[in-house]
Amino acid sequence: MVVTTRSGACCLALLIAAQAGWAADRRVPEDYSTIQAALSAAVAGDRVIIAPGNYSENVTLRSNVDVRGVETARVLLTAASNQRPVVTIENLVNVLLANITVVDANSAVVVTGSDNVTIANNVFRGAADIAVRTDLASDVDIDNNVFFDNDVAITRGSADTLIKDNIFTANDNSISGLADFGDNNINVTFNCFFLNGTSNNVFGTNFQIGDPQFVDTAKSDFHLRQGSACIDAGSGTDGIDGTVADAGAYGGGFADASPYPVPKPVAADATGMAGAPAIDLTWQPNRAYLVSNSVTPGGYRVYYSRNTPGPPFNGTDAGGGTQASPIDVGNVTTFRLANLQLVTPTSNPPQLQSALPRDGAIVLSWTASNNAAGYRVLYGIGAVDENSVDVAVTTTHTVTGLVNGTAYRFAVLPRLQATYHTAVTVLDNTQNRHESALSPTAVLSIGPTTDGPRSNELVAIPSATIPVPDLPDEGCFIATAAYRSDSAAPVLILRDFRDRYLLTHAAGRAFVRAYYRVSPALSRGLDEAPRLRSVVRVVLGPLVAVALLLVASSAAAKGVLGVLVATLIVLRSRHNRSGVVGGGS
Amino acid sequence: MSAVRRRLRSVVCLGALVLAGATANAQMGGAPFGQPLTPGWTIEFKGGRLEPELESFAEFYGEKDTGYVAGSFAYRFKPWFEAGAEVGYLRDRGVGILAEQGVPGGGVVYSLMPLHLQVTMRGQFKPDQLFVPYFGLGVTSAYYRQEVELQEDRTGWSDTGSFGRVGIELYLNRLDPGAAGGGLSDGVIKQSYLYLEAQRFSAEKEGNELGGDAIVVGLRFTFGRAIEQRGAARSSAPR
Repeated sequence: MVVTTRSGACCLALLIAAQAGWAADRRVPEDYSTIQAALSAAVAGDRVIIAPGNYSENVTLRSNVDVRGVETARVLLTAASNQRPVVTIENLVNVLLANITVVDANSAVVVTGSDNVTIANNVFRGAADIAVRTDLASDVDIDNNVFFDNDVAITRGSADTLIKDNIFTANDNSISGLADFGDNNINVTFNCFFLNGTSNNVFGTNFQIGDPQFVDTAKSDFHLRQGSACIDAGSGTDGIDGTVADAGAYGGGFADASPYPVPKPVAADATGMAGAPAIDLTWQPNRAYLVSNSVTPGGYRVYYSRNTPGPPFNGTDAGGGTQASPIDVGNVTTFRLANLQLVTPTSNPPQLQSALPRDGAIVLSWTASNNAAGYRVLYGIGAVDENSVDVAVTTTHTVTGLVNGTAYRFAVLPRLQATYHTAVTVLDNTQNRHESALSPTAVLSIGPTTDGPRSNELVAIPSATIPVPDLPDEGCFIATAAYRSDSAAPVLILRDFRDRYLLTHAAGRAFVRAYYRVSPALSRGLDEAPRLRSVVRVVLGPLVAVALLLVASSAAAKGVLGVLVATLIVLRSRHNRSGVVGGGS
Repeated sequence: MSAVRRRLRSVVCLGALVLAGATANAQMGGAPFGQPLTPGWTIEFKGGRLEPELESFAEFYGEKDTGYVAGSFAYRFKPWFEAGAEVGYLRDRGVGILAEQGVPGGGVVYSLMPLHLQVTMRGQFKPDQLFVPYFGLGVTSAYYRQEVELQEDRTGWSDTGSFGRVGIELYLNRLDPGAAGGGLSDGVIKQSYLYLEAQRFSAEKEGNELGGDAIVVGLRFTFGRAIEQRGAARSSAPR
């Protein structure tokens, strides 16, 4: 008996230890492709951590498993099916749902029969029905969320649902109760309301009314700008800056501290202005008040690397070797990487894989080379380097202007140039200097270009393609028949007009298709009735003249012509009117 | 003999059998169903496979046959005689012949739009006949378009050729009167048929035969007004 008891206790201890030891972060999508897959694999005590991205799922949470996004603004969750809630919390205990943006759901979160549920620091945007609904039997804390543009933000079944430190903006209804519970004021406190329903739809105590001044709702960036009515409007202390808590998704203890990253910066070659190799970087500012504060602003950090894509961005040569990456550049939105020490990268030779004959052309394709800033295609008859053409970073090119039936030699080589990969992050003004994720990388090649190693050579002979069956082109039917030559000047003008003015839009293409359907029969008629040709040429004359003006004249000439025509029309119109008046008097 | 031609012959035999059956059915005077219609319009939509007569089509376009769709309209003078037009369409992507090398190469997109003018004889002997065999004859001209990689497109019309078709229709109103008639006994669509059809057309251009054999399935809708019948049901067999 003693043995049995000891064994049981031992097993229990092992089980608890195992549970504690196995409690882990289950990452989506690194470890699991879907949130639900991570939830299904989770055990009590685990956390499901969701990386930034767009997720389309209906998830069912589990007891004692927290679900958190890495960045509230960039973890976007939509419903796979609007027949069910995006998040279902049913008969659970000890659940945290935090740092997620639920977008355009019918019903975002439904809680039934659950205890100790916390819904914190999320954004609920665009729910067609109810963003968060709790029932009579549930005990839920709804803290520090943003409810924006929902039909109903929260519907609750009892006062056991505590509503605190949230922002309600642009909802048709902010808070409502289920059938048997109509008190919308009890346990509703420190919330911020603005433009809900026909007024502000305010409930509870210690509330604020005013514009939250979100940074960019279209990008789901619900950080607050300086001057927001919801700054320091919450209860308790902010985890981000340690001051009185803000209302909304970026206040309180569960707030994610990462500023919203800046979009891809623009990199421009500033060597001419600087007198030495330099790159000017420009980016859009972050408008959140912890970054753009007029008294104590945050700042930005520039990352760069030379000839190697980041991350890591391990450049060291900016500022003549004194500004290693990353560089804290302060509260600016442009920065010059000056005095760069350009080094041309090394590369491997491309493999010229095919040279396919076409009419007066050869289509080349090759394998990519490392670090190529572009390619140079070499070709010639006697020697491969008789001619060359530079092309962008690609692996295929068509060499045109060749003579059919002549054998040409081809080769390709990479063009090498010092290439800089740059990115920017945002730093807030807090003591911890919270840093955003990297912006998308801007790539720029500057300085002299050199030739990399040459590919193998291929020989090819350009050749026209004879389609099967070999049918004649009846061409510009009516005009050709009227002018008796496919290369008559009016025919060429009309063909140019077709290519430049008609084939460039859908209506023009439809007209050309219709023309090609009916004109062969008409042209056959012209072939059989030579006298009609003169008539058709007279009819076509004005059309050819207009086409010639459009295809052959400069923009200025077209403008002058347009003014002349407009003037003539106006004068003619006045003349007609005066004639009418004169006739009546 | 090509596979399509074999299929064509099978369809002709099947049509002859059904025609015989339908004739027998008409002579026996089956249960009355539906009413004869006044002269009016019919439209058809069909799709299937077409095997061009072109030699080496498979070599240059991958398969010996290709997808084919068509639409037609006709005026029904009698239940057994109508005249109209049909427009078809096929498009296939393949290669041509390199002139210098004499080997296949260079991308080609080949499109063909045959236009048929035709008369059709239908073996319809009573309004509610379940299977209706038919055949049609006519003339054809085909519009072609060849989009050759890095070269000017080639377009034109074939010479006038001949067209023939034979098939058998299944009268859908018999199977589902409400749905097949569109539920509109007083509406525009009076009769609906599902049919299987074999076609052959010939359209030459400078010694190249652009025509071919096709097997298609389609739907036929007839319009018109029902003829009021006096007394007992009258036979609507062709007179």
